[in-house]
Amino acid sequence: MVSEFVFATAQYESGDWDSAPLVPANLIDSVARYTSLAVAPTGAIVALASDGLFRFPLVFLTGHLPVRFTEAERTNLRRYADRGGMLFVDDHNHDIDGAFHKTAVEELGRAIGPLAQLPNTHALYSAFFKFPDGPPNTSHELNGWGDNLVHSHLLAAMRGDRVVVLYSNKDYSSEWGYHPDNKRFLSIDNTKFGVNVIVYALTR
Amino acid sequence: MRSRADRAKGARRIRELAERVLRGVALAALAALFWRALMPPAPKAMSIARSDKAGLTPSLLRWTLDAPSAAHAVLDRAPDPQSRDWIAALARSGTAVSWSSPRTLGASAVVAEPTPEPYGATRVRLAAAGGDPVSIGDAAGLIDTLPRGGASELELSSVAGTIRASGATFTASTASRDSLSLRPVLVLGTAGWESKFTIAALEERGWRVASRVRVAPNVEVTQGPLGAIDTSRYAAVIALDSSAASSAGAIARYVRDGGGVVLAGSAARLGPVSALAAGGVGRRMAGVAGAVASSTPREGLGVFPVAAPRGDAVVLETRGTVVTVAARRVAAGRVLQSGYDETWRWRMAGGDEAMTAHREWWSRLVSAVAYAPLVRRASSGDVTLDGVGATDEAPLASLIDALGPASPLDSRLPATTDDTRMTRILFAAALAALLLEWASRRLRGAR
Amino acid sequence: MRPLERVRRTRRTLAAAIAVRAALWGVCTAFIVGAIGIVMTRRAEASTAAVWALAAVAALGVLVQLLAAWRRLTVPRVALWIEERVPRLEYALVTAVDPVGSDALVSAALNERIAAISWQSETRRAVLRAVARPTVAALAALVALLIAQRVDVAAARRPSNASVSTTSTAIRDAPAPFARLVAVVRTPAYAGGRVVRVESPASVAALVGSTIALEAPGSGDGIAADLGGASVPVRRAGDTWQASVTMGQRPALLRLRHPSGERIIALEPKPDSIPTVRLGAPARDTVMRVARGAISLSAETHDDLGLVNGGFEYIVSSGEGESFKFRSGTLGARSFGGATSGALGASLSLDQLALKPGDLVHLRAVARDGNTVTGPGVGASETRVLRVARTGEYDSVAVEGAAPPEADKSLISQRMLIILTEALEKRRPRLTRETLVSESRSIGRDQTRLRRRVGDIIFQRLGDDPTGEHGHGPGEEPAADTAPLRGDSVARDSSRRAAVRAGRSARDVAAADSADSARAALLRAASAATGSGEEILDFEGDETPVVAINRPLLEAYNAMWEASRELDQGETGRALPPMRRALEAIQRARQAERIYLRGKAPAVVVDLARIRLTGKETGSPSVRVARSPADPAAARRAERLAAAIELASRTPAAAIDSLVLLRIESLDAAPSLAAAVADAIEALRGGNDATALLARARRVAEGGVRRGAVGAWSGAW
Repeated sequence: MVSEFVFATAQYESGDWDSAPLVPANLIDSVARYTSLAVAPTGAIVALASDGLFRFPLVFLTGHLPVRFTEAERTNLRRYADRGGMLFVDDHNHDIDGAFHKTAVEELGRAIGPLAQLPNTHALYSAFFKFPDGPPNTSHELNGWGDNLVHSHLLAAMRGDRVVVLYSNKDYSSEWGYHPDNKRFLSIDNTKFGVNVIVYALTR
Repeated sequence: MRSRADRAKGARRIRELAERVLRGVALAALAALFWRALMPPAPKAMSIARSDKAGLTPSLLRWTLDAPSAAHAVLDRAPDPQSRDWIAALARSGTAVSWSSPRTLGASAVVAEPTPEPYGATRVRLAAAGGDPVSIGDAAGLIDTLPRGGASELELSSVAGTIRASGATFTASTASRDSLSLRPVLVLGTAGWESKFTIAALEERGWRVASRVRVAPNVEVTQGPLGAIDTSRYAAVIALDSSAASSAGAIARYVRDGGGVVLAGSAARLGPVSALAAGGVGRRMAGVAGAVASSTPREGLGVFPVAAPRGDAVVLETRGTVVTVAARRVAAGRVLQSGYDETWRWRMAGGDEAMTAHREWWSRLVSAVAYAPLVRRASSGDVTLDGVGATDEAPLASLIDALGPASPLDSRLPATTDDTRMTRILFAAALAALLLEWASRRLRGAR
Repeated sequence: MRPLERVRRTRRTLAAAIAVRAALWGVCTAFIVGAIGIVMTRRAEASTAAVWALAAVAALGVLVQLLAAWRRLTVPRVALWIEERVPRLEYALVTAVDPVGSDALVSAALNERIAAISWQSETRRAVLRAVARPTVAALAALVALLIAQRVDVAAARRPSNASVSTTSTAIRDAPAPFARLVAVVRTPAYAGGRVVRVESPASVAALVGSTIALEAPGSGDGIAADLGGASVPVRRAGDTWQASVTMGQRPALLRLRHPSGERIIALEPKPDSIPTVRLGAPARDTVMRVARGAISLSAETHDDLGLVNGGFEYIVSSGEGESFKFRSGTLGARSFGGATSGALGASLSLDQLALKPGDLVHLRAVARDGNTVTGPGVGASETRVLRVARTGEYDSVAVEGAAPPEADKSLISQRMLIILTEALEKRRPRLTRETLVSESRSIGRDQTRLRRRVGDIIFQRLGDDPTGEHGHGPGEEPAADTAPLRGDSVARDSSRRAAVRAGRSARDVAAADSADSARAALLRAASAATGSGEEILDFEGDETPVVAINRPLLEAYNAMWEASRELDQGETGRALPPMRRALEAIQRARQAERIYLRGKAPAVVVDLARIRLTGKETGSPSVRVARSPADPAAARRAERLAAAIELASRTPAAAIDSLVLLRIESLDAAPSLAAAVADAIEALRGGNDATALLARARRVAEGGVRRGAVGAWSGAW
């Protein structure tokens, strides 16, 4: 018996952690479409300050508002990263001058470690599908929303050669924030990179 | 009535007489010493030596020089190899040697071998009768102390020179003379937290890991040297779930050829492998809530019990009355069945030492079955500072082997003890007599 | 008392004095012999028992020799001794005690005369003189004995330099150039620039950025210094030589080499910790109905070396959904001038912030120290969140999550329809008319469905039963409607056509008609108000509440209507502009009004069985790269420690050097091992027994010895 993968969304005190409620279902849908992995049909929400965090070795965190971790959240995150957990953070504002990005980078640096650019040749980009050019761009980037930039790299904090924090400025929360049934309208499935992130977390 | 003068005169005469006696005693003692120096005593029928603080060496030296016809050693502990060999040589040279002990010399034995784990750890097995404390050390000093002896097994990550186990009545020594080379471990499973963290634990512990992790039909994440499952390639195979079904036949052949397999969770149900497993797979039992963070973390894990263990299965771990880990030898190989699933929860949610403990536990599971033939190390050029060759792994057995069993001292035979005491007594008597005589003379004014 | 008795008493006193004197001289002799013997035997490591035996014999000899004086203590001699000291007696005493005797008259006269004279004081003086000198001599000999013991031990223990020594036999002379080595440590300027001198250093612990100047008398010729492999220049300064380094962020070893020997000095950096800040007020997060007044802020801060400045930082977030604005600022900034602790205080004026319902204020206190080496350390307190409640919102944040707003889904669907239409328009030249119309009508049906949903939203906002969220597939049914029936040919026709296309029965179509009629009437009126559609009304300046609230959605509705018509006729090119207008209108509708709810978001349940492995693409994962061992150096550290322990029994000085190296290299990776090794080094340097400490260090290096019972399952191959 293989325990199923549960997509967990992080709940933190300071901001709108629930700003992308459809992302879990969409990514669960994608994982089920492309892989035979055992996956739970619904996502879970887990508070960063709770012991329940350690039941989900991959956790998704997003929002628009400033991120300020409490001491309990910080301590938990540090232990979580040391044990082998991975945090996938996405700036829902898509704004590197915005409050979410500035505060999240600071808080993650304090809690876990400094964020640095992840090379586009990293194993993450070939963990399942191939992304030779690095992280795929989002329509929000291409539309000029937020900071009007197309970010060519993701940021990451490492423990040795392992990614413990994957940080995105590309607003995947908006890109993937739709009901999975609407996928049929897309000529290209824009959630494949999410599958890479999940498969990377489960296999590397 | 005698006058005072008469009395004084009498006292002085007595005093002078006493002084002459003391002088005579001193001279007699000096003469005896002189005579002993010139004329050594003839060997007597039985020479007895006792092992004391100074050891047996002075007695053995004397026996070697005196060549008594019979000698008896009273030992309070098993002698060291050099003394034992010395006594045996004396016995073979014509002296009838016997030994006895005022107390029971408990049997003891110690042996060391390399463990099939990364970083070359050494496993030391010790058996010591008697119930007394036993200290274990090597050339670098004390390593550990067992409070009550008995049978114990220790794993040491580093050893310097010879390993010594010392108790009240023995000192045994051993050294690991073998080496082994470990091949990689093959992990078969489905992509998930269990496969991820099991592979991670083994790699972090130093194992080389090859893996095939299934993500989708015909899509696998692979790593390491992948080829036929063979003892020339892999030290052990770990099957985490049913994804190993396609390799079940190969695994069974591998085991029969001498390989080691760990069947985790419900993997023991896989067709050809199920016949090799230590038992059946019982119905899954949930873990005790909250136990993962306790001192018995595996209590908090779900487990597929080993149902109805086979007759030749060795139970390694239980939870209450339920067998959770069992192992079994199959032909030339070994199979270990661990019913725990989701051991990754232990690593993630366990106590402060959970990561290290999880790694070590998985490493021990693999080590328990790993195929790693021993190779004798070349002895020349590989001698440690204190001489690896000088070991004494079973002192009492070696003593009996060399000298026969203990025999009580034969009271009919006259015995002599060590006569250096007589020399000391004579010397002290001469000195005391001279001093007293001189003091008396000075005190009464004579020169 | 008769003279004879008095003389005998004096005789006893003198005998006691002789005995005491003899005893004191004997003790003095024993002490002197003992002192000499200890000094001589300590160096030869011989037993002291023989020394004390010899001392006892010598003391006995002296005692006996001096006690021989007792025999001269006869009565006449004592009488003479008294006569010498008391001339007044004029030989009366000698005559009185003469055993020959005299007649009674003379004896009586003599007794009378002697009785009047006392010689006790003379006797006392003589006794004191007799014992004084031997007493002083015995005390002096005792002092000599104590000094002999202490001096000798000190000579064995004194290290000749700091890199040496376990026992007296293992003292290693320091190479001459390093004999009087001194380390002058100066902390960085921001930490006060304090100077500390360390004599004969084996290790130097100092703040990161401190300068360490090593100096010793001499020219420095032949001395080479390196720090972690990098050469350090050695220069001459007067009659000393110097080498200077700066304390880095990681432990390092400084080696000083000279042909006569080597010296190792461990450099242990002490990092400057960041300030700690505790926010006192506000004490907890707050939700306000109306943001008025001021909130007082207070915080305390501490630093190990000195604070530079601090203050309060705030971020105001306004907006909701996907549109937010942020403002930030600082309050109560102050300087601390290097103090190690301080207080912060300020007042946050909510009026000045001009907060609106839904705004959030994130507030924290921040302090900085003056670290100019690695950059100022910034400490921050916990963050407090002040929120202004929205109109109609409960104070409690325990709000049940609602479904995502319909407009969001409409946006997404409209975008999809545009994409499909554009794609079809692009393929148009290659398609037959039938195919084009068929596909175009398919898109038109979806557009219609979407339009009806937008209509439902408008209807919902007017207070009637919501239609709820239904599936996006074909065959969706209109919601039940309890409003009075009204005729509406257009709406009814359209819905009837939709129902027929969807394959519903006539009965269902009739039900749909009746359910739709009330809404249709309203919608028609509303669509006219937006300036498009069949009825054109001009409501500007006098719009109904319905129109005012729903204008963007109504525009979208009409645009969709127009697009549906074009799509039904296969005119994809002409359908695109109104479709895009509809999209823009929906976006405006989303921005016009936000429904922002906190709480548990609704969970969408994915039908795994239906979609499993239906993806069109197959992944091709790359090969996994193995992880590195967790601490590959751990085993090597244990081996090195074992080798150093073995070396300690033969060459303690070399073992200390090995342990120092091991300790430095373990400071980062294995601090507990570094601490255990440090204890052992300390003991070895002090000449104490380090066995237990080394054993403990070994247990730490090995992670403890794993011990268990010998089981039935064991053994290697």
